[in-house]
Amino acid sequence: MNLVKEFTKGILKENPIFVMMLGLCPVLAVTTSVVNGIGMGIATTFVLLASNIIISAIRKTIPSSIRIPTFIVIIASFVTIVELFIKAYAPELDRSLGIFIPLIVVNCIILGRAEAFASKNSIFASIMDALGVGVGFTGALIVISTVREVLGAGTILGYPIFGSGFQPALIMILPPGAFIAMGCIIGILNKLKQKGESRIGGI
Amino acid sequence: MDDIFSIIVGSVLVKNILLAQFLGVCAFLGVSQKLESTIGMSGAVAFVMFMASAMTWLVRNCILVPFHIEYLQTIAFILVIASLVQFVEMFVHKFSPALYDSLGIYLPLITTNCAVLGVAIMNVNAQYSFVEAVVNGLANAAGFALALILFAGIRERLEEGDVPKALQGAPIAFVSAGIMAIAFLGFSGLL
Amino acid sequence: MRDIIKLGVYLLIIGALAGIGVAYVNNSTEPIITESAAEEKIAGLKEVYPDSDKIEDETDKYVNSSTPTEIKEVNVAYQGSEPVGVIYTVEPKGYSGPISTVVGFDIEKQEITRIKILSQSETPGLGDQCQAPWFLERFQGKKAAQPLKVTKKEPARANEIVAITASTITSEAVTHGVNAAREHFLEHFGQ
Repeated sequence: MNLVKEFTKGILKENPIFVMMLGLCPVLAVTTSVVNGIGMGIATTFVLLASNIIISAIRKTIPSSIRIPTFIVIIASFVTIVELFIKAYAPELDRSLGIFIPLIVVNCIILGRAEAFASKNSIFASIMDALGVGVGFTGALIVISTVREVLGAGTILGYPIFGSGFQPALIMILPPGAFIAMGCIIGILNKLKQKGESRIGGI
Repeated sequence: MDDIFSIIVGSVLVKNILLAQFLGVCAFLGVSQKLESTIGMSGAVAFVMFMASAMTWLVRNCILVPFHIEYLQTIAFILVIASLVQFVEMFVHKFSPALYDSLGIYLPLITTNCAVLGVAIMNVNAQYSFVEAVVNGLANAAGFALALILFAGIRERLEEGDVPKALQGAPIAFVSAGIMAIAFLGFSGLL
Repeated sequence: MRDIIKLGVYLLIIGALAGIGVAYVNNSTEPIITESAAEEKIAGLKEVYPDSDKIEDETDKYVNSSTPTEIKEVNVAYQGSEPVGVIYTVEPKGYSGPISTVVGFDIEKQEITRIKILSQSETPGLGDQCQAPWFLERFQGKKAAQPLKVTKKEPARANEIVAITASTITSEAVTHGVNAAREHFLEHFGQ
C-alpha cells in the first residue's frame, strides 16, 4: 500500500515539473517535439531509477559529510552510460537532444531524490519513488511538447494533424514559446486546483 | 580577433544562455525575485563559470584527451565544478568575509546550476582554444547576469501589478520571461 | 586526519567503481557507435550520389592547408575504376553553429547532383528548415561553373538560390559551403 503511494505521489501531487518546478532547463529546451520530450523523459527516468537503486543500496555506508560528491559521481556515471547507449542505438535522438543528455547530471530532480529519498529509504521504496517521479517528469514533458508541437508545427509525433491551410505559430517552437507554454500550463493547473479546493471548501 | 568578438556578441545577446538555451533556469526563477540577491547570484555564477571554463579545458586537453578517456568527460567536468565551487567557497570565506556573506548562500547552489556545466560542454563541442573557451565563459556569465538582472527588475514591478490569482508567482514569471526572450530574438541578425 | 583519509579512500573506491562501470559500457558500445556512424556516413554519401560501385575517402589527397577550412572531407565515387562523382563534406558556419553538409557533384555533367544536411543547430522552425527537401532541391542540378548566389526574390538566373523565408543567414551559410565545395571541384575535377 505504502509502495503504491510512493509511486503515485510523484505523478500528480509532487509532480517534479508543475508542482515542484525542478529540473526545468531540459523541460524548456527539448520540448520542441513530442519525440524529443519522450526521449528525454525516458533517459532521465533511467538515470533516476539506477541512481536511486544504487544510492539506496549503499546508503548505510556513505559517510554523511561526503554524501553529495558520492551522489554526483554515481549520477554522472549513469548519465555517461545513458549517453553512450543513446549514441550507439539512437543516434538521431542524440543529435536532437545534444548537450542536454550530459546535462541530466545537473538535473536537480535526480540529486534531489537521492538526497531526500533514496538515501533514507529501502531499495523497493526508492524504486517506486524513482518510477513515480520519472513518470511524472515524462508526462509533464509530453504535455508541454504536445502543446508546443501542435501549435508551433501543426504536427504530433511528426504527423500533420491540421489541413494544409493551417499556419503554425512558429513562436511556440522557438525559445520564447517554451516559457509562454510553461507559464500558461502552470496557470491552468493552478486554476483547476483552485476550483477543486473551493468545491471541497463549499461542502 | 573577429572570432573572439563574435563569441562575445553571440553568447551575451544572440544565444543568450538563459533565454535562448535555457541553461540555469532554476536559478533564474529561484533568485530573481529581488534585485539585490540577483546581483549576488550573477557574481557568483560569473566567477565559477570563468574558472570552470579554464579548468575544464585544461582537464580535457591535458588529461582526458592524452589518455583517450574522453568518455569520462561528464564525470570529470562535474567533479571539477563541484570541487571548484567548494574551493571558491573556502577561499572567499577566508579572505573576504564580507563577500562571503553576500555570495555565500548562492555558492553551493551553483554546482547544480546547469549553466556552468553547459558552458563547459559547449566549449568542447565548439572546439574552442583555451583563450576562446575562457572568453566564452566570461561572455556567457555576462549574458546570464544581464538576463537575470533585467528580469529581476521586471519581477519587482510584477509584484505590484494586478495579476490573476492563478497566474501569480511562477506562471506570470514564465510568461514575462517568454516576452523577454522574444525581445532577445531581435538580436538574431547581429552575427 | 584519519577521518580525511577514510573519506578520501571511500570517494576513491566509489570513483574507481564508477570508472570501471563506465569503461565497461564504453568498450561494449564504442564499436557500435563507430559502426553506425560509418554506416550512416556511407548512406548519407550514397544519398547525394547514388550511382556508384564504391566510395573512397580521398580527403588526404585533396585537402591540405591551402584548401578552404570549410571543406572537411572529399570522397570520390567510382564506377569500376572510373571516378564518376565527388562528394564533399563541408561545414560552413551557420546562424548558431556549423552546418555539416554533404554535396555531391557529377564529373561528367559538371553539376550538383544533390545536397544533404548531416547535422545543424539552427533555430527550430526557421533555420532548421534547411534540412527540408524543398530547400535542398533548390541546389539540385546547378552547374558547377557558376558561383551560386542567394536571393530573396523569385530566381531570375540559373545560379540563384531562393533563401528560406526569415532565415537568410542559414541559407547563405549553406550556399557558402556549397560554393567552397564547388570551387574545389572545378579546380580538381573541372573539365
